[in-house]
Amino acid sequence: MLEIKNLHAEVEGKSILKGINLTINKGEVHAIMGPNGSGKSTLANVLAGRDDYEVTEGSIFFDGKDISELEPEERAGEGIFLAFQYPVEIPGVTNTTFLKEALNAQRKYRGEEELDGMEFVKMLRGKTKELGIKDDMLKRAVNVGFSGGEKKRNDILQMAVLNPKLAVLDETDSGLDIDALRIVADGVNKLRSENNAILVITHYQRLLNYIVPDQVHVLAHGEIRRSGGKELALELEEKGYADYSGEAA
Amino acid sequence: MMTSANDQDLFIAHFDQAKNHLPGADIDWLANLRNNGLSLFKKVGLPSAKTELWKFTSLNPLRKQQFLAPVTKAEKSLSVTDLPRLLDETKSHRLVFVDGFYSEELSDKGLPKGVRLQSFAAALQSEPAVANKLQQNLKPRDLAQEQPLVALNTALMTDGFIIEIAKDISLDKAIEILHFGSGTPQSSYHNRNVITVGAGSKATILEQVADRESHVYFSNSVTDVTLSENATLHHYRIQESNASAFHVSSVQADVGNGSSYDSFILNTGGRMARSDINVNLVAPNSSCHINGAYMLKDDQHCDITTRVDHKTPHTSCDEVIKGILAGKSRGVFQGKIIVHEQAQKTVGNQSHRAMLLSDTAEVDVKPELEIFADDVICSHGCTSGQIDEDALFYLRSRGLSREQAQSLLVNAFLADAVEALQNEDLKDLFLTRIASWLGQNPQ
Repeated sequence: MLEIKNLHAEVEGKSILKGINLTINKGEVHAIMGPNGSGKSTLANVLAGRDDYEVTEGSIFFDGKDISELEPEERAGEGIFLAFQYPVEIPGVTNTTFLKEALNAQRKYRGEEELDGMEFVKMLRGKTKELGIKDDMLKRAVNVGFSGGEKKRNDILQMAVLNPKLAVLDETDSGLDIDALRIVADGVNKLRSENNAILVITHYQRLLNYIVPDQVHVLAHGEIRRSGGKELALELEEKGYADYSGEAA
Repeated sequence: MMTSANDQDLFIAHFDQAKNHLPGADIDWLANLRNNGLSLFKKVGLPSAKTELWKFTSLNPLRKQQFLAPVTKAEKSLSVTDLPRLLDETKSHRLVFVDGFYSEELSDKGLPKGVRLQSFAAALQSEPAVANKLQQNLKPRDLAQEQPLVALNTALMTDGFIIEIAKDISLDKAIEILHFGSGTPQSSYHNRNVITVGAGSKATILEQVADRESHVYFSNSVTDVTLSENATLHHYRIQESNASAFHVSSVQADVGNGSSYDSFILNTGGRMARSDINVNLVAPNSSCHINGAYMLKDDQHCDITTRVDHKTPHTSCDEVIKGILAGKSRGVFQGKIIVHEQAQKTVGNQSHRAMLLSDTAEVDVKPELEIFADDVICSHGCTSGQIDEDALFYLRSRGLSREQAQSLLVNAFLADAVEALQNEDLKDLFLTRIASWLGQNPQ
């Protein structure tokens, strides 16, 4: 599904990613772990197509298509979803309006028919029920006045509505207490299926107790230094990132 | 730049050409008033960059025009189907002014109970008692050097609306006033309007400035508002003239005991639009809202200058103005709140927020609080910035195009100001105007 080859990227002229290779298949959950400044968030933003992140070398194939030149909205339409480390507040725009516009924009991109108000609300009600989210959250402006936990749950709701093929969770555990973490992880697990894939980006192992990965990769200095099964996360928890602190030989 | 003597010559010549056919030429008090206005205008001339209250708004584009003197009646005849209308007949009673002149045939017939309406020109030509009453309602403006255009209006005022609402009347329909430019190039007119609202009454007055086609003209209007006790006036204005028009307007409202002057201005039109709004809170428990939004593009210029005088204890004002600027447009907000010495327990809040959609747009603000009482709550805040790139990326990452995302953010930014409107129909109408402006102007 996702095939990243020799990916180099820079931000404001500074080289951050220095040759990433990563393949994620349908139905898999991968975790990328690494110390601060290793390039984890850069990778997430590059995948989503943020303007200030420039790919200088290498390729990103998604479902067989090179997406490295696509706009963020086109990538969303292709089925890539980024759950933000810090979801943005959008005053004046209600959650419902936003979700409807976003979903229909994606459907339009894929040449599918847009949903009318009734169909949309029915689908939305189903999703909120499934995730145990109260309806009043839908009437509120996107993330405005939401607690850290509510913002992350709102991202999960967006993910449920947009139903992406690949969800990238960028440090979604930051700022969450253990209860909120569990709720968010439950939401993600409900959306796991054999047809989609999830890339979890995190500094800490604890999120991976709840969202259990098939593979774990260690990112340091802009490269994947090591890959392994879920036990690698436990090892990192114990030993820290000290082994990966030096520049590559 | 031309000298100030030249600036004045055109308008002084207008006075000489028009003085014999201006309405009420045989009324002594009026002749005096006009002469006072003219001599003050002669002395001061058009405001220049040196005039403190006009330092951000240059009248140089206006100086380059050769406007024609005010005439005695509209030259073009129009049919009602040529005219835009904001609310339908079930929701508003509409009066129409064409090129500054009241048109009885284009206006709705009959009047809601408790409302008296006359055109300014007709009032001056009716019996002396009516004309003399008008004299009392024309506010003795402080025609100091900051207000030369009010002085010019006083010299040349030709027509306008006089609306009197009796006491204890609650109007269920809005009074809608259309100021329509028929397409007469280089026309100029100086309307004088008077609104008085009796004790315990409530009314909505909705003014629309629009025109048929692109043409240069100059409208310089002055409106005197008086609210008696426990009265409420919702005064909503929408200025959407063509991008070559010049509009200067000055509203002065005196707000009585327990009364509220609630004003909103939506400005999208004109080459240059300057709106002065002066509110005097002259009695306890009087209050005002001065809200508004403007949307500008190309080389449009919009200036909103407000002054609120808290003259007695227990008065409040609330101002929220928002602006969107594209192209090389320029927005100006000057807001003065004066809390006089005896005005204890005053509450005054003011904010102006602007969003610049281009690198060449400019906004200038000058908030001023002058507080002479010691027990008051006052705040002001002015911000201007670009569209939030993080928010833009967030929306795009969910599938919205850049244009959709910008439009959603700009709409949300302005909607906040419109939400304060108390009339649902007008709220919808203004939101529609904002959406259509955004639709026509991909940023």
